[in-house]
Amino acid sequence: MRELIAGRHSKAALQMAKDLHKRVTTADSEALLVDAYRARIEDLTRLRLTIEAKSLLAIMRERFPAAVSGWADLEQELCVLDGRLDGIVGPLMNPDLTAEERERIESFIRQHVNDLPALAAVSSLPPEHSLRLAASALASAFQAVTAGNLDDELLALPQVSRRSPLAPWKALVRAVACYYRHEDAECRKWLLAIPEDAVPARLIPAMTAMLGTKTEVRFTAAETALIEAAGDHGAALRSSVATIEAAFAARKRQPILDGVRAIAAASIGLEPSLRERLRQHIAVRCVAQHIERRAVDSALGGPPRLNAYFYRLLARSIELMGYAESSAEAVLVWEEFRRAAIRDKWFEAGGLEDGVLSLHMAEMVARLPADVVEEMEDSETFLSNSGKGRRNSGLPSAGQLFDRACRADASAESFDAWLCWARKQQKGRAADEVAERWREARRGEIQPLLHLMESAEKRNALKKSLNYLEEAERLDGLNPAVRRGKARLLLSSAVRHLRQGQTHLIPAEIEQLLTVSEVRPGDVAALAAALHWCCAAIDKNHSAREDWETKLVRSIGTVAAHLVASALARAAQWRSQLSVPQLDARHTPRTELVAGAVRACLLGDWVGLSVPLLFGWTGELIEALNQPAMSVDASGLLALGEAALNDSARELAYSVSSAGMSLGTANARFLYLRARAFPAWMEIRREGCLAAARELARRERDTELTGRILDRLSGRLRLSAQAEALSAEVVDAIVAEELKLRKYPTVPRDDQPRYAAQLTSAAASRCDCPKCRAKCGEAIDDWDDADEEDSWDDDQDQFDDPALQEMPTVLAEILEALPPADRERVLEAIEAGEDPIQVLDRIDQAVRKMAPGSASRKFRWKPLKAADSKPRKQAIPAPDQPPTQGRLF
Amino acid sequence: MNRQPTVDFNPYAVLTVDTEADDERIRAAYLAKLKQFPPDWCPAEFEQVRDAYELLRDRRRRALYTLFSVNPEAPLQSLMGGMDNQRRFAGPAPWMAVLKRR
Repeated sequence: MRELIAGRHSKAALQMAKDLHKRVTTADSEALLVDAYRARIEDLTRLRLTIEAKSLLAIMRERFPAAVSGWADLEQELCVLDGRLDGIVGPLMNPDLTAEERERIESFIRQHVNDLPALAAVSSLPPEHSLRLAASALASAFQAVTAGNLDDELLALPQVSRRSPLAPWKALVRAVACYYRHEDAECRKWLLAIPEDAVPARLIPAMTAMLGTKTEVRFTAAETALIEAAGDHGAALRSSVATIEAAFAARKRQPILDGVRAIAAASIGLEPSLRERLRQHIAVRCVAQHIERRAVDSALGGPPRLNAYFYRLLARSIELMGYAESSAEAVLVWEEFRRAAIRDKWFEAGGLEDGVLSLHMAEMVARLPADVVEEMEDSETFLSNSGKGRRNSGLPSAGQLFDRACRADASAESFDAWLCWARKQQKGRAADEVAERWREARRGEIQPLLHLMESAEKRNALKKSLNYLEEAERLDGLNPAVRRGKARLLLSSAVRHLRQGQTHLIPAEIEQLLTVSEVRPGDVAALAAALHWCCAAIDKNHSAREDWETKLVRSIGTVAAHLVASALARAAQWRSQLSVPQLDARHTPRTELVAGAVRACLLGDWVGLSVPLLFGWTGELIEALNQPAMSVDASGLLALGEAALNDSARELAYSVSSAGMSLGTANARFLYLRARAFPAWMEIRREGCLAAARELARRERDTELTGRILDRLSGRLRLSAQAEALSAEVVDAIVAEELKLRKYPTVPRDDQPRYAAQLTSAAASRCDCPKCRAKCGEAIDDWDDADEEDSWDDDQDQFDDPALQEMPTVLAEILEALPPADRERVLEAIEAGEDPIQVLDRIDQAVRKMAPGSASRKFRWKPLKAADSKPRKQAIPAPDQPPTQGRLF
Repeated sequence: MNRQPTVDFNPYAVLTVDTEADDERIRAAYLAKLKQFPPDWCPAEFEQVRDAYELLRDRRRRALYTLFSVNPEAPLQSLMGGMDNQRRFAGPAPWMAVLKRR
């Protein structure tokens, strides 16, 4: 029974004590019964069953009055529970109260009184009594701080002295205030100031837990209710979020998954929509870290909701990875987003948003390398691993997406992007069909008409082309593009008649040509004079020929006249029969040489006439360009450079780029020109110039040039490398060094430009492979994909093939031996990133087509793989094949 | 490439309109902001307001913003904007319930 009493099993102990006392009735059994009754009354008091406790106490008072006389504390406690404090504090007004008795009463107040308003209202003390004043002030302050009023004045509590039995309450009020102010250290300090036996100490365990301290204490129902009502739920979640962010930054798989589990547990009480959004973001961040989806779903306690918000987030994340493969996968996810967005009523199918999204997807697909598109059919994607058994429905084609975009949003921007893509496809008349769609959808725009005009002209459908031109002139006759198109069309027609020897038809075309508003004064007159000169030369009318030659020279100068006449004679395929106006380059001032060449190239560029620049005085022209005092603007130099590239005069183009960069006004375009002028083996400098040109063009917001550079890079570099920008220091280093390197590289050498190291370092910083990340000082753990390294080694093995090692040494020699047209095709293919095996196969075919010579004997390329030895369907044209009409444009 | 909006600039927040606001409400908010930030007195704020309005008045640009302004790399803390102070004022009752227990 003593053990039962000690173990707070008072009910059973009392029943047993009663039975025992009935049977034996001894002094010991009575003492045991009294103790059992006391324990029972204490337990009932603790359970706030005051009526039952008082009943038992009354029974005890009747049956064992001697024993009950010492139970004053129990009686007082019951008074406290009833709110009857007058009897407890009343003796404090007795002037004869002993110090011990006062101490006992005050201790009782400190240890048992929890009803401050009742204490403030006791009638046995006068209103001005310090205990009543302190209780009243504390009751108000406690009410205020728990309701949100944290004023310092309220917390001063001057009514409560340090010696007051209510002083622990003052510490409690301040602790609560500090808790709400997030002053956790101060809060802990005030909690420590509360004596353990004081009533306010009952809040210490709960408040300690609310401050975030882990404890093993089992909380009562009231404590649990307090923690839930006033506790800081966000603390654990915020802590978990901070932990997982650190794990994401460190790219550690296991800590990330642990963090996901912690967040899933800590966010249980969170608002459902906010919790779901958090889960979706975490899932997407894990996808970006290449953590398998099953593990993430398991850690999250289930997959996140796959709605439009999730798919948009996921698509953006995968897209921002920047690799070609990820871009392809992002397109699939964007497609899934589209379906979900239409289902969730974010937008309607065929609406503006649908058009904008489809255009974005189309442009992504258009930038994808062909091999990536093929790989997507077999590879596992996020969607195919979604756990819903969903199969990858295949990558939509760019054409389908452009079509959908333009149906949903028939804007000029959408059609322009579609037409630009269709032009590059070179599939029949796909671009013409797009232009026709554009023309039908937006009648007032001239861009589709200009395309159709040019396309018809290329097919020798001159009548149709003129019809389009007339329509374009009706819409906007003053538009420079329309004027230029008219001049090009008329010149093309005239050139065709010259080629056919129908010189009698030329004057009418010249008459029309003279009506075109020219950009530079004298251009149209010079063209007319050149055409007249050509007609007179073909007709062998010497006097007329001399007259027109004089007029031509007078209008644009000797150098330009020589070049324009040469260009016209070549286009009309009369070059060998016609003697063009003579030029004594050696005795012509250098500045005049440059100015004349620029003038001719600008004129040729305007009317689509290819100006020949590989002639006997190219050396003099290069020498003139290298002279410091030059009065040619950037646009003229660019026209000269482009013409030089078109005519395979790479050294001249290189010199033009040097002269242009020294102007310092259009470095992006001159770097791009230089990149294309390099010989094929000058890999590092070409990469450097392209990267710097792209970065400068991006900074200058030159989207047209950026697009051209990206188009050129798309076959060779991954999208991540395209998306990342070079730092300003690297760009400046490239420009400065290229500016100094004025001599065209003619002999393959091992030395690299000084900026090569910076360029490699910049590329490594963008690369996500373990080796490059380690080079950048990033910690790499075992989790990083070991297979990736193996695949790299495999790639390296391919390059170690003896046949490929042989290639660079012989390539320059072989290229030099090829006809210019074939050489250009091969160089372009290499620059565009074509498979080296295919390129060499092509070289082999080109060499075989040549007349037996040194090159064909020196080099025979043996394809490495049988599959690659299939004959190519598209044969390389014969070296002396005359240019077709369309090549003018 | 340049068509895509930046994620840092929130035109709806600048004009203090919700994402469902129609053209009229956007214009009304713009005019109100113009009064609040006249270009002569508050040029920086005016520029932001004008940029926000230019973005939202063009339906294509608005669609672009809506579709692509999400930032998957945004810190998770940014999702918990309203959770900074989770210590709720529950009044004295739950506190007193603990104090009354022995």
